[in-house]
Amino acid sequence: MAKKPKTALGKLFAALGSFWLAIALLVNLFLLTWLGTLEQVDKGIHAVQGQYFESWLVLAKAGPLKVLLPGGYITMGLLVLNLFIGGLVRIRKTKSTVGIIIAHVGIALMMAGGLVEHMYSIYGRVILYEGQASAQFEEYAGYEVAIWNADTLGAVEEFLIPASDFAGLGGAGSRTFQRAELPFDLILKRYMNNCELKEAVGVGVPSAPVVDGHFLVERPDEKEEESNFAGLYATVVTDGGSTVIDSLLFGRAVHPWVFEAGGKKWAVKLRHTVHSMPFSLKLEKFIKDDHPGITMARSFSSDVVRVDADGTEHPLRIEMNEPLRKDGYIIYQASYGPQQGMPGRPYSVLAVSKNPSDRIPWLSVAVIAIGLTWTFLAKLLGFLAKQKRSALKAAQASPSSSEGKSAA
Amino acid sequence: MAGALVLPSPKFGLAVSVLAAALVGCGDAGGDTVQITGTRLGEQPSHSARTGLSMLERTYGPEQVASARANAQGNRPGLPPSQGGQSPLVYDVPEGWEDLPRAQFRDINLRLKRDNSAEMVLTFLASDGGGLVPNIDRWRSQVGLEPMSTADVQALTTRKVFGDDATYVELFGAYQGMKGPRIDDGGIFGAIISRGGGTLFVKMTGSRDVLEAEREHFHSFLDSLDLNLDVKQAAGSSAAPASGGSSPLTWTTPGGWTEDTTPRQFREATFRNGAVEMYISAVRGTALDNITRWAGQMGQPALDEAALAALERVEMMGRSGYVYEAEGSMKGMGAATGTPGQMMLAALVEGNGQIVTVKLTGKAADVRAARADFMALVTSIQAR
Repeated sequence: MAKKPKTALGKLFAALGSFWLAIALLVNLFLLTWLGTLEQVDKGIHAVQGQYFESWLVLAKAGPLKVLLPGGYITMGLLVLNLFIGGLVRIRKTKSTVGIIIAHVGIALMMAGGLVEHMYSIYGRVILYEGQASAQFEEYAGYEVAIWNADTLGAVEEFLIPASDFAGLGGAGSRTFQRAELPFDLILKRYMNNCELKEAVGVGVPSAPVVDGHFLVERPDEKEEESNFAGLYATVVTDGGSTVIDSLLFGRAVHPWVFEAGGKKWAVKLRHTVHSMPFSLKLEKFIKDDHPGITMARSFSSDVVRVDADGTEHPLRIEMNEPLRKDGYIIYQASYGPQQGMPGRPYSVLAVSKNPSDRIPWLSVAVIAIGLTWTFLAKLLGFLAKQKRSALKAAQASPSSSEGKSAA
Repeated sequence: MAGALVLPSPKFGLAVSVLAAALVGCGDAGGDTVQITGTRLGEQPSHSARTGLSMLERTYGPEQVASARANAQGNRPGLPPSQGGQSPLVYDVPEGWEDLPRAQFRDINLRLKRDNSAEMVLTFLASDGGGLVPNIDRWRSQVGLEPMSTADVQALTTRKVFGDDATYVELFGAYQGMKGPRIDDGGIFGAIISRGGGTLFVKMTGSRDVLEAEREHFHSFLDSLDLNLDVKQAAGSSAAPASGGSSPLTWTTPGGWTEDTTPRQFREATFRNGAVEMYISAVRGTALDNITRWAGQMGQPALDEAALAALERVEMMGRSGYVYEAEGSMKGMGAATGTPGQMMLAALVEGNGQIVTVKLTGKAADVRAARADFMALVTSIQAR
């Protein structure tokens, strides 16, 4: 046991590393998980995840009551401090605590992995028709604005504006985007995280500016984040300011906005953020095995060829529970189409996740297992040694006493 | 120190200033200029850009919008379809009114500038729309009036619209349309006419005061309605057989091919090289519908938007065209059975509601051998 602290800083240090704080934080984590799970039914997983776990404080709904609880950031932050101070710094460093320290290192590793995943992981999907190849995937929910020369055939350089540059442009906010290669300025404004396209007829006074007979109406966020359709008002200024073209960028749009500037056609699209992979996937064949007599799939898989950066080809099969893992990317068989026996070319939907800490849970669980095994074995061996010593002691004491009795 | 004001230290003031500046920075009022730094090499299928699309067409796809409109309204018999954004109708916009873009069930869409609740709308349905009496009764119900008998409807006054007698009504009451707020003292002025198997509805809605004040404008609007002769003539000419000399297109005949100058319906030009034939067409339609039709001829499944976007592209008439090829048993138009061992190689480009296609068909080996000539012809086509 560490010495009892005397200074205020020492007491604070001790409190942060205390066993009781750990218990309180774990109870709070349990409450967040429990109440968040109940509230998820009404609000959807994304909203609750943000409210309960990606927050400092949360007004949790506990039946008819509202309870103010520390959110995920405070809870997990204090838990990390508690683990570090109590489980690694203040803990007695003896032979008997080596296993505990190793287990704590494993837990810290798991928490670090969670932080890395929270900050750097990307989830999305790629849709491939048979014979089609792609080295890119799109996020389920995140948006970006892409600009490209629409006259170009084949692969083309796209100029990208990330959501962080326009997501704050609600209300009257606006921002001008420029690039030397572009013969125009692009002004973005009135960002909406979820919106609806309306025709400006028969609706009385439109609630937003009307462009091309339409306007965007903001809507509350959907339960599922990927069901939100973002929207932006866009203006292109060209010819030294003498030509101004307005349009709407709607996240649901299939086709981009195309206009002419500098003698070329340009396309602008608000779309789910696209990411490149260090390899490409070509769908050779999509295989679907239906239940007898109906079009419901019993199993489905994709025969793909992975083409690495050096051009080497690797034929392989991606099927449910058998993902492809490569360079930090995991590609799962997620869905397919056309659904419900509809006519059309078959295509495969592959879920892509890029998680730099993908293997951390395995590693941390192994470390924790080593620590706990060490601890239990040490306890077991200690117990057995103690038993042996007791038995020896009893054996040593027993003959003399019997001899004494006999002698008596 | 009792009663003395405790002033913050200079350091505290500095901290507050920094904090205030930081807080101001947190609000994303924008108004600034940002250089675009992110770039990526986009893959071809992800960026097919189609020009001349309306906001609705950009959002849902032109084929889907056209299909939804066709399902809702039929093919507007009696009226030519719009071309190149031109309305199939001509009309005078009354003074004080503004002409809004056409929308579903609104082939003409006018709104009164001084009172946005007042509208003039023309709708054309490909059917009888339920008949005259039910439609008059539908309008009457929108202003809270009881249905009329057939005899009463037949006794209603008429006005000339498109040169024919249209049944004309002026109905007042508490108006509640399909959209928009209820107008307690409002009404409908309307005209209904059947023409060419379809039904034309023209109505003005709004408050009683506005209707009374705008009556003359509504009548002048009805009188001004006419067909857009440019569109009508264009519609007629595109369906007529084209000869090489009168074609709106130019091309370069590939070496070794003979241009067949015999006029044929739907063909701008036909080329032959032995048993292989290829030809150029310019008709109205959409890429998806035509390529799907071709797929059907080759016994292939129908295409959807994504499949269309995944097709090989070719530069054609300054735009990005599609290349479709399929091999198998090919059925001609109306044929019950196909000819096996055939191949179709086709290219198509869309623009202004029209498509230009080049199609090469024949035995698979012959078509493959003629691919270079086909692509040369495709890339040589230009508008006159």
